[in-house]
Parts: sequence; C-alpha cells; structure tokens
Amino acid sequence: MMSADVSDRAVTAAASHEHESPFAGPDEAFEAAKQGMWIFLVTEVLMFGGLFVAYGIFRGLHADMFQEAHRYLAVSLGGTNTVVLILSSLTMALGVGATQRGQRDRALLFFGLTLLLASCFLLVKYFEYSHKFHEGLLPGGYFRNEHLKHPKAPLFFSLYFVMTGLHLVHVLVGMGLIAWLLKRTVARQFGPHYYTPVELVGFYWHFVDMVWIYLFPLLYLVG
Amino acid sequence: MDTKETEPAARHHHILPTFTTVLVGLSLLVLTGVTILLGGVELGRLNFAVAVLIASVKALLVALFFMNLLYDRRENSVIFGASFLFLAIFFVLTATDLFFRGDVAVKGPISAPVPAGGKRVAKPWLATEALVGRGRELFSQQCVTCHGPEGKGNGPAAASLTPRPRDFTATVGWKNGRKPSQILKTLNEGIPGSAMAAYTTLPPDDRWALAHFVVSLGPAAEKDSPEDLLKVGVDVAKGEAVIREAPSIPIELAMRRLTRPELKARTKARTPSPTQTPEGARVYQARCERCHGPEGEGAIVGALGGVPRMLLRTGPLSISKAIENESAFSEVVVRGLTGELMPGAADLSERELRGLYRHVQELSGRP
Amino acid sequence: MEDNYLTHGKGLGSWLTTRDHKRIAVMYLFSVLTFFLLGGIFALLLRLELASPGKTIMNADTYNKVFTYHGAIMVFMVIIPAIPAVMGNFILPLMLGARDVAFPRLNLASYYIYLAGALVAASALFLRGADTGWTFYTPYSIRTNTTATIVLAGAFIMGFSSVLTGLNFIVSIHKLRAPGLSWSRLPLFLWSLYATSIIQVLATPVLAITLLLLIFERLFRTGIFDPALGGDPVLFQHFFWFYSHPAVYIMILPAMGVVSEVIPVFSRKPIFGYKAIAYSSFGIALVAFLVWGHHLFVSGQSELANFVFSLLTMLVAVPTGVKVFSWVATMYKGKIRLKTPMLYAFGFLQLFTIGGLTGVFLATLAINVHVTDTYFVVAHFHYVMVGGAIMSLMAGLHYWFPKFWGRMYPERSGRITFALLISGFNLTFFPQFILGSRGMPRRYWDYLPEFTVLNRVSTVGSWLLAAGFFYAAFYLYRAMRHGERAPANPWEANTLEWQTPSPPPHDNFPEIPVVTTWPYEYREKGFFPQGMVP
Repeated sequence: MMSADVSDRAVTAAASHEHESPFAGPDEAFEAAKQGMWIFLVTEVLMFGGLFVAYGIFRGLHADMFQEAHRYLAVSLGGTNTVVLILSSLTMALGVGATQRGQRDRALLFFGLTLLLASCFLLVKYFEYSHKFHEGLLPGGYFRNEHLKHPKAPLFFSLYFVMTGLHLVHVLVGMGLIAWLLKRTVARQFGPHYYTPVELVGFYWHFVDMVWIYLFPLLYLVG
Repeated sequence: MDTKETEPAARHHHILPTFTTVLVGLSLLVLTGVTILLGGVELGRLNFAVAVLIASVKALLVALFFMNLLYDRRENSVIFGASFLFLAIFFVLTATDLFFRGDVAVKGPISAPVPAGGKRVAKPWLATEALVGRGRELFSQQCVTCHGPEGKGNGPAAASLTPRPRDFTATVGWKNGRKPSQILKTLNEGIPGSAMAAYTTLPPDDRWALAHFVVSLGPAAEKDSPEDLLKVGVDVAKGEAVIREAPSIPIELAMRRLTRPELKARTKARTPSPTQTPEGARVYQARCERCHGPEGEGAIVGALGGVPRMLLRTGPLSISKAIENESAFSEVVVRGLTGELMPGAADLSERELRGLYRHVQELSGRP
Repeated sequence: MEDNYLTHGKGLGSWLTTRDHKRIAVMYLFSVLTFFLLGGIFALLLRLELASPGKTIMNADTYNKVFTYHGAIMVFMVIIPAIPAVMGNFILPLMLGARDVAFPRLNLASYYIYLAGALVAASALFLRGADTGWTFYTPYSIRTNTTATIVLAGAFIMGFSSVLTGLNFIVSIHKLRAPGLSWSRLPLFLWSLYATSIIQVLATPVLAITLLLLIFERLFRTGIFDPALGGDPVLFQHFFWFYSHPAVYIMILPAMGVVSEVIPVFSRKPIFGYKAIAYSSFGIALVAFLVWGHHLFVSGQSELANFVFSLLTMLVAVPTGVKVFSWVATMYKGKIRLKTPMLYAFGFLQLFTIGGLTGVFLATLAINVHVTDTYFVVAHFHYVMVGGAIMSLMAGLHYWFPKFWGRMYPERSGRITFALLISGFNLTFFPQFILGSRGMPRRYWDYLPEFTVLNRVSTVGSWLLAAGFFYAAFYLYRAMRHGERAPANPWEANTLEWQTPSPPPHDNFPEIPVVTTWPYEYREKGFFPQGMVP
C-alpha cells in the first residue's frame, strides 16, 4: 500500500514517544543534520556571494583601477595564507577521518594542528592589516595613501576589508568550533558510532577555505 | 580501502580514505602554486578567467572530497549547487543595469546648442504660432509637474515646494519680469533659492518657444525692446543671437573635485572669537555660518545631518579670498550666485549689509 | 481536556525552554500579534495625519519616522514570520505525521533570535529612531542623523530567524514524512511552505550582507553605495530588492497555501489542479528571483535592465493566475459552507486579484513611470500584502483555531469581523489607487487640497479596519479561554492534523499514522482522512 517514494523513516509499531528527537534512529538524525548543514552553507554562499557580486560589478566598471590598486596587496602574504588554509583543511579532513575510525589521539592531533594553522592565518592577517593601516590604504572615506592616486581606489580597499574581514570573522568562529570539538573529543564523546558535530564543523571549515580559495586570486592576483 | 570494521551498517557513512585525503590536499597546494605562477604571466583578459577557473577546480575538489559530496546523496549536491545558480542570476541581472548605463562620462558642456531636429529657427525672439505650439508641447513635458496644466503654479509637485512655483496667469511676483526676454533669462539661469532649475539642456530655440508660450498663458505682457533683447544676447540690428550660457563644467571634473582631500570635513567646534562688529557677526551667524563656517573657512554642516559634503562648481567655499569692495560684496549677498548654492538674501537692510561686510573683512583678515 | 501540549509541563519556565513546535508557534503568535498592534498604531497615526492637508497631528520629520516604523515593523516583524512561523510551526509537523520539526532546539533558537532582533530594532524608538523609509535607500540612509544603524542591526538579526526556520522546514519535509506520505500526497499548504522556505534560505542572506554593508557605510565610510565616495546608490537598490522582492513571495506563498487548504474543505470538493498548484508554487519561487529590478524602473537603471525586468515581471502573473483559476474551479459545483475561514478565503480572492492585477499595471514601464512613488503603489502592495497575507492569516487563525486551543470561536463574531475588515480594507485602500493615478506622491507628509476628500475616506476606512482587528482580538481571546469545546475534526477535513485530538497531545500522535490517500478526497456525502487505518 505504501508508494515507492516513501521517505527514509523506518516504520515501527511501537513508535518512539520521546520528544527529544523526531527521528526514528541515529542514522536518520545524522542524514538530516548533514542536510541542514548544507542548507546553512547555501546561505553562506549567498551572503559572501553578495560581496563577490559587488566585487564583480566594480571590477567590470573600473578594471584599470583594480589593476593598479591590487598591486598594493602583498601576494606573498596572501599566498602564504592560502597555503596555510589549505593545509588546515587537510588536517581537518584527517581529523574527521580519524574520529570516524575511532582514532581518538590522532583526531586530537589533527584538530590541534588545524587550530595552529588557523592561528598562523590570523597572524599573517594581522601583519597585512597593520601594514595597510600604516600605508593609509583604508576603506572609502578614510583612504590616505599618497601614491595610489586613482579616485576610485578607496573602493577597492573597502571591498578588500569587508570581504577579508567577514572571512576573518568566520575563521574566528571556526576556531571556536574546533576548540569545542577538541574539548568534546578529550571527553570521549565522539567515535564511529557518533561523529555528527565533527563532520558538520568540518564542512564549515572547508567552506571557509573555499571562500579564501576565491578571495585570494580575485583580490591579490587579478591582473 | 575503507576501514569498515568499526563502522555501523548504514548507507551514507562513507569514510574518505587517508590516501585520498592527502592526495587532494597536495593537489590543492599544487594548483595554488599554478595560480600564483600564472598570475605573474601577462595573459590580458584571460588572466581573470584562468584564475577563476583554477579556483573553481580547487573548490570542487574541496566540495567533492573533503566535504564528501562525491559519495553523498545527490540531493545535497543539488542543494549546494543551486546556490551558485541563484548567485549567477543576481550578478547577471544586476550587470544588465550597471554595465549598460550608456555613456555617462560627459566630456564637455551639457547644453545642446542645436535642437534635435537640426534646424534652427531664424529669429526665435519673435513669437510665431509654430513657436508657441512648440512651447506648448515642451511645457506639457517639462513644466506641468510644478506649474500645473494651466500654468497656475498648482502642479502635483507644487505642494512640497517653497517658494511655490510661479502662477503664470498672475501679473505679480515675477522675479525677472514677464517679457519674453525676461522669461528666457529665467530659463537660462533658473531662480536661485528655489526649485526652478536652469534649463540649459534645452536648445535656445526651445527656450524661446517656452517663453512665448508662457507669455500666452497670462494677460498681455509688454513686448521686448531692443535693449531688452540685447541683455539676452540678441542683436536685433544684426539679426543674430549670441548664446551666452551659464558656466558649467564636465561631470568628470566635478566628480574629481568632490574627492579632493581638502574638501574633507572640518567640523571641530570652535568657541567664537571676540569681534569688533557684533551686528555683522550676528547676521553672519544667522545667515552665513552654516555654509561658510564660523571663521569663513568653508564647510556645510548641520543641514545634512552633521556629515559635511559639498556640491561645488569652483573652489572651496571660503570667503578668506579677497572681497574687493563693498558694493560688489553686497551685490553677491543680495542676489546670490547664479547656478551656485549661494542663495540671495534680499531682505537684509543697508545697515546689516554694511555690518556683514565689515565682519567678513575682519574674518578674512584673520590668520 | 486530557493532557495536551498546553497542559504538558506547567509554568513559564517550561514554555521558555520548550522544544515543542506547537508551543513555539504560540509564542510566535503572541509576539507577532503584539508587533502587529504596534505597527497598526503607527498606521492609524499616519492616516490621522493625512486626514487633512498640512500639519494635523505631527510635523514632517516625525511623519518620516512613523512611516519608517510602520513599514519596518509590518514587513520584518509581522508578515514575514506570521504564517510560516505561527501556522507553519504548529501545523507542518502535524500535517507530515511527525512528532516535531527536524531540529526542535534550532526552532526555539529561531524564536529567540527573532525576538532579540525585534527588540533591538524597537529600541531605536526610544532613541533617535529612523526616517529613511523601511527601504533604507542610499545616500540618505548613510547621512541621516537618526539611529538607523540600530534598526539595521535589528533587521539583520531577525534575518537569521527566517533562514533557520526555512532550513528547518526543508529538512523536515524531506526527512520526516509519515509512511505513505509521498510527494503526490503532500498537502498544498506544505508545498507552499516548502517553496517559501527555499526563498527564505536563498534570499535572506543577501539582505544580511546588504544591511551589513550599509552599517559599514555609516560606521566606516566604505563608500560602496555612496556617490560622494565613488560608489553607486542604485547598486544598493539592486542588493536590497534582490531580497525584498522574493520577500513578498515569502509573505504570499504560505497565504496561498492556507487558501488551498480552506477552499476544498469548505466546498466539499477535491482541489482542482493539485499538481498545477504545487508546481506553480515553485514557478513563483523561481520567478521571484528574476524580477527585482521592477522596483528600480525610475532609479536611473539602464534601458536594457528596464526592458528585461519588465518582461520577466509579467511572467509571475502566470503561475499566480493558475492558482486563482484552480481555486475558483474548485468551488464550482461544490457544496459551499460559508464559515468564517471560507469568508476570508473569498476576501483573499477579491483583494489579492485586485492587488495582483495592479501589479501587472506596475510592471508595464510606460505606466510605471507615471505612478511610481505615488499612492498607486501603496494601494497595490497593501492589497496584496494585507488583502492577501493578512486575510489569509485570519482564515488560518479561524480554520486552525479549534486545533490550537481545543475550542471553537463564535461564528457570528467571525462574520461581523469579516464584514468590518473587508469593507474597512476596501474603503482604506481603493481611494489610494485613485489618489496615486492623479499624482499624489507617497511618503509625503502633505498634499494638495484637491486630494483631501479621498484621503479622509481612506482614514475613515482605517478606523473600520482597526475596529475589526480589535474586536477579533477580543472575541478570539475570549474563545481561547472559554469557547465551546471542539472535537478533533470539526470541519471534517482530511489532512493529518485533524486525525489527532484538539488540542494535540505533547508528541502529536499516539501512534505515527500511515498515509494511504491524497488529502483532497471530498465527496458530497463523505470525506477520506489521510491517516485512516486501513
């Protein structure tokens, strides 16, 4: 009597009366949580995407200005940060894998490495930003640099600061989440039987990496 | 390759093999290097496309492997992919506006000396039926919103205007007069301190047409004498007109001026310095300080919410520049400056003007 | 009444920490109604000021602030959450045959985020307020000396609530359907919530970044939207309307879903064009994202963009027309029961049709140039938003009243209120079409004397509306406490929420039902509940 396209839920005669979870079992809950995370990442794509749209519009209108202004960004620092973040994604993926295999000590190591690499990212960003402040390469109305004379150049730096700034906030949040994973891993709350938060935080971190993968060439390398 | 011995028997709990994980990580690093290298190579317009392409490959690697989409339900890939589709819609449709505005970088004066059709009227200062008809057409496009369909000054926008638009059927209140040449002067210059703009974007023939039509709306007006016509550049004896337009500068130049550093705000509050001319200082404070600053250094504060902005045609609003003589000063103060933001203050008495002049001299003499 | 979700767990603490979607829905209900009252009071003040030309009760600066508050409150705090967060939260799991939404704790978080954002925005009322209009156009919104930043921050926070609710609903519909509840048996209210949730998830983040960028403009002078710093103010409008246009479909799609439920039940006939209505919800959701530029026709947008957006906007009338036609066809040869929910469904049809048609007029470039920023636009959007969404909210509040409270509302009071609302609404807003086409601009504190009579008529209409809403609040509250007890299925409807007691128990169903039919099997002499045990 049931049609072929029935949902995942198993039918049990003594259906769960617990209000804690509306799901039949842990697998269904995991699948749902994962999908929820993907939908959340959709919202992040659209939010960052708005900034990329602004970037695209201004770049299309003032390509020469972007050419000139982007030279004031340090490719070496941006490139270093790209490498750092990619490595951190790698360590994160290895940490998730270790948790899934029940290798607690390895998981701790990889989460710790991820946090270390993220801190490197922060440090490099600190140098970059302070250099910009020093040179007067500031957003919009605060722009003060004497060498970069194009009248629209302040807009480039507005975009630079808002895009990398929002990304930075996401890095900080991610670091908090990974630290939380570390704490819970120490407390032996994860393993092959349950690793939902680990996987989902991993997704978040990989997404943060993805955003930088686009930010780096578009801001630092475009030419 | 999967280490399945400790995992429960569920369908979508794929564990990425360590080897694959490391391989993908290395690929990402290699691609990063490629991107940086290619960034240094001059490929013209391709640079951008190549950079985005490589970035997309990297992003795909992260999504498919690190985020497991390759092994996950198709549903989740569709969900994630859909977001990029809508982002593309956002960009493309916004671009149909921002990239297709047309040439807004006007390179020269804005006014159009020749009408769209190309033909000029021989002696536009003489009213003809054709000219009045043309004026009626233009009036219904350009003027009705404020002046109303019968020119009574009761158009839909009139409710919000102070001073109200001129009632063309009345004989009083005309700032420049009711003769055609005087109406033309109004069209050429606008009325400072009101919403009546200068219609220099219309060809002069069209302005004459409007002038003749406006005259026809009210009771009979005086005709232009040769001296009147001379004032607007028409030499009747020679039968020709010299077009003297109000000064204007290209938009580009205006925009460059706007971003000059010296136009940044100077909003520090100052305690007023002692003055020798209290009456002039009083008038100055009430009428001039808002734009010219307490010391005459130039600023516009208050009216625009405390953020100084200037709309200029020439230099900063500073009256520290030399004021030649009292009568020229009074003329500027009473009439305002055509086409500038400086409004006229016709209500000041002789005594107030004198006091103001002395005060301004005092200010400009200050270090 | 036996133990139900209202009695399960006593005390304020049990409500504030609940994970029960039904209790969360009730909390949303009271918050939304409170903000509706606040926004409504601002509306009444506006109409009082406009009862005569010149100053009546407030000066122009205050007027600017009052219409800003009215718009921001009604859009962000009332209509966007109303049907999804109140009816959606309560009914969706029940209609799915589930015990709750997919993420109950996230649901509670959604509510608190909404409340926090609303309170942040409302706090501006005690400071310097905001006078930019709810649309916050630049450059004025950058310059204004008011506390607009706080209102922006509040709206930013509220956006996350909308997103998380949408996320919750999508995953619930995907993962929590009862056995036998296939896609082709899903009630249309759920189809509409599904489409709404997709819009919420895709569009709201762009609002978030827009508001954030505007806050940065004010705080850090970034200049992206500021012409004095080289930016483009029309770009702000693109950013703003990319969300705000789909937002109006967030408001109307659930409303249409309610109508799709009410009409078959009260016509005792299967819905006409089930698939068409379901697909049209997605059609509307898709086209919703393609048309935002029609708010920018006179902004200085390029001719190409004007052309493209006008063309695309015409398209949205098609799936909308499909729905209206299907509803009318459902009623044809049905056995109509004119109970209050059905009266509001009729009201919806009348008012939404007028509103929708005038939308087509506005999509026509040549007409738009004349009536844009006039009262014509004001009338148009009030017809669709109030005449559409609020009428449907009233329909839903009455239809599901017995399910929420286990009691019936008094039918006569329902009819009186409907009469007040439908007449008050038309009296308030129809004259505004005329005022607009004759040139009265919107957001103006003053107007030409020739517009006085119609403005006065409109103001009187607003008093009828107020009377209707106040009376409704009164009798609904009284019925909630002391109304006649209602059975599980007083309307003899098929959908799953009616196969459980009124009010439902804490975990919705004694046993998860097994679904065997689609929801619209109605015959003159019978009906076929979805969860009937075979």
